[in-house]
Amino acid sequence: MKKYRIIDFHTHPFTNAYTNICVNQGECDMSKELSKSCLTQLGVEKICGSVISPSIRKHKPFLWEYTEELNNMALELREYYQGFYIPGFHVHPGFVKESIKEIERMDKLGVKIIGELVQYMSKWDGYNYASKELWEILEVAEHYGMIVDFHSGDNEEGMASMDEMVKRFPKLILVGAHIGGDSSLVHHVKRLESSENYYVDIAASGLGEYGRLRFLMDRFGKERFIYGSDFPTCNESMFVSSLMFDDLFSEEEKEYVYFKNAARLLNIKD
Amino acid sequence: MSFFKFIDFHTHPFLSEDNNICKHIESANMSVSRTKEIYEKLGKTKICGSVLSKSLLDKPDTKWEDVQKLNDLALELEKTYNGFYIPGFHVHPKFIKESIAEIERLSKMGKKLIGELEPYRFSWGELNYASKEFYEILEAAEHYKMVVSFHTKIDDEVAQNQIDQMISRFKNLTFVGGHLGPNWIILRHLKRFSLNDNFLVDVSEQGLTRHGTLRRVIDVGGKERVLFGSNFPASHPGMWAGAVQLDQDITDDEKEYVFYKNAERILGVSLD
Ligand SMILES: [Zn+2]
Ligand SMILES: [Zn+2]
Repeated sequence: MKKYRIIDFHTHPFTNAYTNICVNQGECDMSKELSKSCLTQLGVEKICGSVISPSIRKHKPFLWEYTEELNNMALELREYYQGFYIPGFHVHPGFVKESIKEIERMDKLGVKIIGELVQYMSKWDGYNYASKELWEILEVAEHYGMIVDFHSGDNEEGMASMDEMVKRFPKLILVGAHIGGDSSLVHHVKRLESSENYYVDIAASGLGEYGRLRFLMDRFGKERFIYGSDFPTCNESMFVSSLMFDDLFSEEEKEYVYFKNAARLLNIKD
Repeated sequence: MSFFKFIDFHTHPFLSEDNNICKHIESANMSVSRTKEIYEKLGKTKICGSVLSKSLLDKPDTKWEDVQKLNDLALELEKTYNGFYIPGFHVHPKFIKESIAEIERLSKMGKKLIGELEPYRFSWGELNYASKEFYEILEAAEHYKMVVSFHTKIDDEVAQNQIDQMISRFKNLTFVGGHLGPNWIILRHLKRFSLNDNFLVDVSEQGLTRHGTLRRVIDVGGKERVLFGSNFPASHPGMWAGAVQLDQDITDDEKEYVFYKNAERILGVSLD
């Protein structure tokens, strides 16, 4: 088996059960240490992504502190993983001022990725990707040259709001997470057409449909798709295998998707 | 790249575009000969399963002729593929007499596999896995020692209860639940292992996608109750095979059972 150099752009590293989103965590050995050894054995050199918690929604009232706590965990994990983990942080349209401050703080700390933003897990009640509150935050993100990865699976209205955002911010690097189902695919195509700075991370749903990524790459080329697994909710060995054993992709295309596209966006030198 | 060794228990091979359930046929460069090539590139492999028809999905009243035509296509493909493909056949609870005669015909030819059955594609209507009409057919299947592979990803508690009833009623019949499914259906499968010792699951489609699912299913059911399946041509078999092969929580011995030993045992075939 040929090993590829891999950057896993879409993960959610965890410190404890509160932030571990794997439904089978009782069944398998999981820890910070094991996450790293399990991924590096597959060829993964670096992981990216936000720390998330499904329990955060339960807080009443919902305060900015809960979001900030996850961001701080991401910083701690960066420390712990020593270069293996490139953190992503959350912003929240319900907290515009705080989110803008957070971008400034993170910029100073050298953090470049916002997200994956997971709206349904982060209590965005009443907001979506076309809300003016989020756009205020994104203007600042654009100013600081951030990369924004967002969960792209949603209902029609939600997906249409993402289309609007991509159109409104053509200079901002926006990454739609998950290829997703048939309806999602239509929206990705629209966004890939409307902004050159729109990318798709191929984590989790959609990649399993035979020929779907080939369909997208035939239209938009090898540079717009970024490898991601959505570990630990998803099975990293399955997603690593997605392009590896599929002869619809050339060796060069595999190298771009597994490594080069993320390396370019994140300024990672060989 | 001769990396894998497996029997893909859950596929739907095709002759025409109508039989091909892939959503991106043009992008995926598909043909009858290409199917074999895809698998040969992965390693030493065989495939199993039934032939489907997309046009039947929109027809309100499936006729027996439609069903038998697909069975005959499966026999034709078996010839074309010359040992690579182990055909699976359809039966239909609206056609009891015909289904039983079909089981007899195929049994005489030495065939053992019924399914994957997909009720929603064949307008079973009010009939379901626990209908007495279907039970009559299953009695014949049991008599002829068939293996029954059936679709389980049905988003409905009532249908899930009917599956439990069926497998509890026919304890000597070997059943394979097709797909692990979403988490709540996986939990139902885990309970089914104790309802019938001859109940197995295949790992095709959704379910294997989640970290730790295969470990969990083997922990509960044992390594002898899980079959490798990819749902080709809807999915690429390499992605599913890699999911099993590269899973660091599964032992090499367990992988061998999942990949081919269990299929060899229940179908009485050999991969070598
Ligand atoms: Zn995610
Ligand atoms: Zn199927």
